Amino acid sequence: MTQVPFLEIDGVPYAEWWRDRFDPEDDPFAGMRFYQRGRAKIWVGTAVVTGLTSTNMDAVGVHLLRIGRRFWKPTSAAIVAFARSARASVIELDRDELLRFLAGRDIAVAEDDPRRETLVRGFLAARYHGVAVGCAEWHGGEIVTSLIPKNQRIMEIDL
Amino acid sequence: MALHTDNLRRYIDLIDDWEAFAAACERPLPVVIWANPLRREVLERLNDADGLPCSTPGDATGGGLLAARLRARGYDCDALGWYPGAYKLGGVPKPGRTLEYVLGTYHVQEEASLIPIVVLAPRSGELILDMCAAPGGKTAQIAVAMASVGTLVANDVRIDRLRALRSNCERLGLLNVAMTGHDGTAFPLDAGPFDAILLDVPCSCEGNVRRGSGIGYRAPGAFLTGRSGLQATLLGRAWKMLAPGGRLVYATCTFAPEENEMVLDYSLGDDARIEPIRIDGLTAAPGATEWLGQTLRPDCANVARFWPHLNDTGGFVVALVRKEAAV
Repeated sequence: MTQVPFLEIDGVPYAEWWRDRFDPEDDPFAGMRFYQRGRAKIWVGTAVVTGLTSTNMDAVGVHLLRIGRRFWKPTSAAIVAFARSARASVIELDRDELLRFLAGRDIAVAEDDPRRETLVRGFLAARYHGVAVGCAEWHGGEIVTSLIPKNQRIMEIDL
Repeated sequence: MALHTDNLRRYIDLIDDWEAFAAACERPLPVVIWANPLRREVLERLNDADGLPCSTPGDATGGGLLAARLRARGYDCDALGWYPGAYKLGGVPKPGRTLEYVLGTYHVQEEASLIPIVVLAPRSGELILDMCAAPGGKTAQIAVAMASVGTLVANDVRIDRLRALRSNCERLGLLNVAMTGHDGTAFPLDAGPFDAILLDVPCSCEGNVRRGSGIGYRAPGAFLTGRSGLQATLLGRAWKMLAPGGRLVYATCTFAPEENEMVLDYSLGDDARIEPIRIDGLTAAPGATEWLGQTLRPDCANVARFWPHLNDTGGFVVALVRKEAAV
């Protein structure tokens, strides 16, 4: 079985996209290397795998972005790892919303919800007490969608 | 459920106190967790929001913050002492179902299985191979010890186990891990040389007798199912990828000398030296230098056998092997 290789790439466009989207206080990717796998997957981490050409990599660091023709989508794992100092595109959840979010269910943001003032359309970092918990999506309506991957949804949690 | 410690009677000559050993095998294993320093900030923020201590002096791991949280919820949480940031947990029905677990602030791992990484002593900047890595507890320990600096190649041949490895690496926020899915016996040789290798080989898991699994529940002699051959092949492959002067930790959770000292004796040559192991706060018994009438290499005495009754843990056997530096 041949696997799609991880090729080291210039990370500037992806770090810039992240900065524009999430306005982090510091550079969350300082000292890291970026890798591309196939056409659409960008990974980031501190591992150096360029010399390991004949090894079949399955993952290198954290899967950061999926780059499509229409939009780029951050992964939940990337939000958890790199969105702790984000100042934009953030939605703070309360306890009940956190439970819904982790179970993959929608969060209601009514017309008069004060959070609506700072929400930007597109992908969001969902946080609980400032702790990034995963990727969310908002298109201007009254719901924010949880993008926690199906196999990582948590139906039962001890809070 | 009757325990078949009788199956383990063949090791009676290796065990200092058979009665204590047999009694330990009957007791259930305590749940042990270790705090993840890479996610310390998560604990600081949660504790701040909940009015709990946000810093404890001399607490590099964040274990103090975690213990404060868990105790506030009414759970028992006793520091292990010999391993920084690790605790014995009581009263948590599902330690893998707490918010703190989901957010990667700790990992659940059997106490004895923490030992091999303390022996390996990974350092920042090294290139390290974890050859049989899934589900990733030891992988995470290595990445944490490296402080995310350097490269850790975590390999496992089974795709389902690789998935578990990946989910643990993501949850714990490991940044310097490259995951590979090779058959360890055919790992590409040009990937090395590695500064250090962990070889936590598949074994017959006799040391898991306290978990209600392992040899204690199988027919006598079930351990002799050909694991030794695989273990020796893996060790031979790993040795070729180890840098001169590098260190290899060979570990199993099984008692059989056939899967430990005899594999080392069979596979290692003159360029290998099994070094003594000493961990403050833990008692180990020496390795076997003779088994079934066969005399083994004398440095097999330096293999450390952590029998369940010595430290009230599961069973583990660990060897630290140094490759001679090139002349």
